Amino acid sequence: MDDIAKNVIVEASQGDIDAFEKIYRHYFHFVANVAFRVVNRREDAQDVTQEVFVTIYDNLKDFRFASSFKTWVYRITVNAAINYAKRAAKHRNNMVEYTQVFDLKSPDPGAVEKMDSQISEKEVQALLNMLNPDQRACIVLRGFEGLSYEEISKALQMPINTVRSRIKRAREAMLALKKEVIKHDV
Amino acid sequence: MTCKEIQDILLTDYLDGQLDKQSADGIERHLSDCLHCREFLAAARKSLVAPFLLSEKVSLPQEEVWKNIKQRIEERSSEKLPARSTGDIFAKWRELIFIPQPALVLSLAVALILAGSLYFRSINEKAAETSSSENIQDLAYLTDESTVNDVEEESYGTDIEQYFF
Repeated sequence: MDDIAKNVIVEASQGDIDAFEKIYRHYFHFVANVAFRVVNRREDAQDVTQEVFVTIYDNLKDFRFASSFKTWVYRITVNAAINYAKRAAKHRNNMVEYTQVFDLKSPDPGAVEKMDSQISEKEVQALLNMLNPDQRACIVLRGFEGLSYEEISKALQMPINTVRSRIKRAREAMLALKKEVIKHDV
Repeated sequence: MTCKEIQDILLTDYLDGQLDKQSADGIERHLSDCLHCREFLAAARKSLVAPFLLSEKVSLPQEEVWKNIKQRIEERSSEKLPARSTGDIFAKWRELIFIPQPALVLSLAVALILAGSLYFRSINEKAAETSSSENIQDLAYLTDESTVNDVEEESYGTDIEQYFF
């Protein structure tokens, strides 16, 4: 994602709501998508998205251009989403949810392709539910947004090896769950 | 490298295309010789990459969210305005009291100097009126031997006591 023009940021930091709207439209899809994937509920994602942009607006005057603006937006988004997810953490039986996803599979081979995208979406949600919010944030930034490990490390303000380690553990957990489900199906 | 070490890399940097060419070539050489690791990679791609690529990006109601954000910003701005106007009054008073402007400082300094000079002049005038008579009394006290002796007799013998008593 490209960074937005500096003059837009400066104007918005001086309270220009039209300039701020440009920032909103530029980063909306990223913020909304990351928020949704981390909190995993549409209504919550909407709350987080609003919170993120209000936070951005409030803190624009303190942005010193020391880092790229998009990295700053990534950071605010991920922190807001992780905090929200931690607060709203519910004790669900993820294993049951995931098993239910696979029970959706139709025995009719012709319908498999059609079902694939629906299953994929539910499968992704169930897989993400398996992870803690910190792992989920790394997987979302990598899997959906295509950020490099270095970009994730800057956004989350953590060493690149921590990013690597979180991604590895998250994927191991997701693979283990898949194996369990396959066993369960057999 | 063991298969476990290779699989750790497959699960992260290799799957995500984060390896440099030399490292990637090394992994691929291992893969060409190891069926177990090839199967592991295929399973990882199918389970951990494909579902994320297939799933659609979420679409939240962009206009509705913007409306809410704008409303929140505007509400807070309007809440701040009356507070700011009240605050301004206090701020101005504070400025007047605690952070005097240069002109105010100068005029205060001049006023203090004038008041001080008038005050000291009146004191000097009074002093001038009384000093002649007091001087005479002092001189008379110094020359009155008996008075001096009385004081010495009443003392307790130390300088400190003399100072206090």
